[in-house]
Amino acid sequence: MMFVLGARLTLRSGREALARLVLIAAAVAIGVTILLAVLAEFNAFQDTARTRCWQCTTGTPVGPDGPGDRGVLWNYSEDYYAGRVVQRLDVAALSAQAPVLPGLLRLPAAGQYYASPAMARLLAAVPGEELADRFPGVLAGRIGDAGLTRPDDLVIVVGRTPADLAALPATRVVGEISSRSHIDGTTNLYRYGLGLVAAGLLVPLLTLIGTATRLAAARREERFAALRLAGATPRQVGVIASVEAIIGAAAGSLIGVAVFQPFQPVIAGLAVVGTPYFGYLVAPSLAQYLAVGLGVPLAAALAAVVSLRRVQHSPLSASRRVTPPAPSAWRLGPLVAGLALFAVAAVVFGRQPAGPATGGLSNGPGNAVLPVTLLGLLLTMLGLILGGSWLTMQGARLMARTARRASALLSSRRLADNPKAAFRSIGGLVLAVFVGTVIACLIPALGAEMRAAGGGTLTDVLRVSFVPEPDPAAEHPVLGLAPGAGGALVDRLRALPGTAVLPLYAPEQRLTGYACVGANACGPTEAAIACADLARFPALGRCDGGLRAIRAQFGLLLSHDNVASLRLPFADRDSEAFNADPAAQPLEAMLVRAGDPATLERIRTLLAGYTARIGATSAPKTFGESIALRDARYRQVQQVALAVVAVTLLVAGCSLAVAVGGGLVERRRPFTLLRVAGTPASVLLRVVTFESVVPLLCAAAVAIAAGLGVAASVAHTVAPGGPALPLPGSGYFVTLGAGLAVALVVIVSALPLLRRLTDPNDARFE
Amino acid sequence: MLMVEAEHLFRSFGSTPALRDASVAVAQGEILAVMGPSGSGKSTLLHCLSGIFTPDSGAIRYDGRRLDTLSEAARTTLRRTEFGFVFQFGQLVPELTVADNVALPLLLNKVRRHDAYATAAAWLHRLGLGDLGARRTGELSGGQAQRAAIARALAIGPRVLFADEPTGSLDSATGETVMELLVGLARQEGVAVVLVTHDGRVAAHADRRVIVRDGRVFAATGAEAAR
Repeated sequence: MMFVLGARLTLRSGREALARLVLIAAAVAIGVTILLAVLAEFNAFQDTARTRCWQCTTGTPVGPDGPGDRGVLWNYSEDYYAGRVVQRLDVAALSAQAPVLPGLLRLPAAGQYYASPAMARLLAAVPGEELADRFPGVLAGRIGDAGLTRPDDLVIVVGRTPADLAALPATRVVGEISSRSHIDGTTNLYRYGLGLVAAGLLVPLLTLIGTATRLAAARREERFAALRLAGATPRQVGVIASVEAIIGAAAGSLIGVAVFQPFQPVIAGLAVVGTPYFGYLVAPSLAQYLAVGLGVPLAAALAAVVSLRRVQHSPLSASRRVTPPAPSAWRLGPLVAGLALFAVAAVVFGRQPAGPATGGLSNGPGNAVLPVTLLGLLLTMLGLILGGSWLTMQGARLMARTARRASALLSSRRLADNPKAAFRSIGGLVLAVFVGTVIACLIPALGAEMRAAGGGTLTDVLRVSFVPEPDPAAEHPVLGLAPGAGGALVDRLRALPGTAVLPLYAPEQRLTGYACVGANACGPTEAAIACADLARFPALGRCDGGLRAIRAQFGLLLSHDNVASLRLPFADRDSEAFNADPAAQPLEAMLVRAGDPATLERIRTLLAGYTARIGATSAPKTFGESIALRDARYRQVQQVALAVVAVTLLVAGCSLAVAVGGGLVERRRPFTLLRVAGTPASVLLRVVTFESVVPLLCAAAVAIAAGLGVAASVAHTVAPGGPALPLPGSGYFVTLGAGLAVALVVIVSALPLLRRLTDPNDARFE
Repeated sequence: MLMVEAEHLFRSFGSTPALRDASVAVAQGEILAVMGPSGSGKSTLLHCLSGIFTPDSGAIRYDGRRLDTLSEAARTTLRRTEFGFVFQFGQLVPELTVADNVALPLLLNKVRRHDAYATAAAWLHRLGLGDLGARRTGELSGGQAQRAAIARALAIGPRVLFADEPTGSLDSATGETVMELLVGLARQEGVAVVLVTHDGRVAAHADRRVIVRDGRVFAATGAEAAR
């Protein structure tokens, strides 16, 4: 009975009730569309991580009796082209029953290769000596989606003869291809991070839905109070209120699901985490559709009931409404404490001077900085949320005290009257913009710090080691290329225009030092170097004037991917003289600076043959490429953060637009009578614009300022070589600008409601 | 001298006629009561006289000039600068203080903030609300709110005051007090008043009374005037 009455009141109570229903449905539709997009993106990430990791296949070394006649010979390595990773698998089937990796119908025969679609396009686009010459054979087909994690993966599977492949040290005999997924510790970290982001986005989305449901609370409270006076029980009023919310939210959910469908391919191509997913993976599951379709109307009904608490307490509640209590100043405490913590951390944990060499790495800020930074971040975020309403109130009161125009007076009093309600719509935005600003500032700062190391002259320097990982059982460990072969290679490289080479020779006829960073990055740590060669790389150091060659410890120069943490220069006037001719020693490694990108790829193509022979599972790469790979991981985080900022801005804009609509419906009578009394509509337009746009812009400004401050403090500690005031890149400004612009458009789109609702011609119906 | 004069006004809402050949005039300093039963068209007449509505036909003159042919913007300016309005309820902005509400029309007329609040304080004092300037309107009684509304209407120094059932939501004693104040101040200031009411006791404060019945305006007879 009450349900029917509620439905009738909702659908047949005139234009105002219908306008409220439309607003609720529109707000919920936007919320549902965004929620589905977040779920779809999360699903795509999960499903991508769950794809079969054939690259994780291990196998066993080729025995002294040869590879046998079962399984497949397998040699997986990572190559590089223009800073991008190329996943390369060299295979040779040992029998007709050899296992086939996903995405292929059969293994390539010797002299053939299969490539992923992106790799095939790249091979066709660049000169052979820059890329294709690294892979013997011809393109025989494409690798299917099952063998790839993303559509732009560069993957190549090269068919070789068993004899050729068995001769390479890193080759393994594989009986079964790994069936494990790509999920590892980092994946879980991202998964939890994305899960947190998805959950975090629920807060502003529920705020939006709640704001829509509470639309014109005062007007509804009057109606419901009248129902109470007429004898309705609180429960019955609750049912009637819920019905309105459920009808609006259910309609909004359906519209949201419908609107999401055409947007799905767009979301698939957005590449939120840096690279795009396969489009068919970017979709919510049926259970998620059902959860959203049922959960959102349910949440809306709950919000409606909660918002009517006062009416349920008393039938006269509408006339007993009082100004909500003002937020107190203690709310600023966590913000002040958080920012103070960052200031103290910057002073106390500023980078210490480099100490004695520890594996060639310089001293960092120490482990204590992490908990302090995290605590500071938590306090600052808590402080922004708690203190936001107090700051809004103080700002509005100041405005009201000094307002010279009627519009400023009206809007500032409204904001000061209920700052919590004003801030509710933008609380999520403040957090997202703050975190986004910190991340967007720090990531370029870390990149700049890495690129600035060695005066920036090492960025394009290629590092290559010719020393295989020492075999304890070997009587005579390989020390590098023999002097003749090494010399020929050096001469060949020097003949390339614009190329500088720094050969690193074995100082003794035994391996004096060897270090690995991770599984794929290994190299010797000590060398004999000709001073004339070293002079071409001044960032690495220099010899005493009279010396021809020195013996130097260069630590992890060949293997560590963060040049900023290397202890440079490693050679100076105190370096020990090397009295023999270094060129007569085995060539254990070299640094090469190419004149241009095309030459760099030609050099890499040339070196690929040498490194494969020592069993390297990773092609040589430049310091800049190492930085770029590290950067790419950081940028994934940044991209997710910026996506969250953009979505939150949009949601905040919607919340504010809905709040504007609700505020207009609530104040329809005084506003209409103000217009009757000669107040131009433009003044009232300025009032509602001020009430929505100013909090949005101020909240964004405060969050940006806090983010910049925190980023400067953290950067001072973790990236002292970067700029004093780290600034975000253009992506941040584009995201923020576009997000704000869309939010403002959404708000402005609600303003025509003002003219319609306050039309003096309707005054007679008041 | 006639301040507002309406001749042969016709105005309909859809197919429902609200005014039918209505003519009325109010002179400078005169208090005119417009009476009639509910739905008779008296509020529509007030809205036409004050330029809120334009009639379908007929003419309205204010201070000798045609008002009904002015643009919406010009009529809005006129209402803001020359007319004052008092309604039955709900005209005060709830978030503003009483002083803010009274100063609001002055600020809209670009009066300096300091002067606007000084004028507002003077009017609140004249209306016995001198101590309540900092209060929110929700904290006022019905009579106090109507007095604040009168202060707001008179603060700009209007030449015509339009009052639509100004005591409709008040008890009789409070209503009487409010009417005495409204009429007394209007006479002191020489303001013409168009007072819409269905209450004979309220209309008794007027210099002249007219009756609106089925959209037509009649001069009140002795019996009607006594109601």
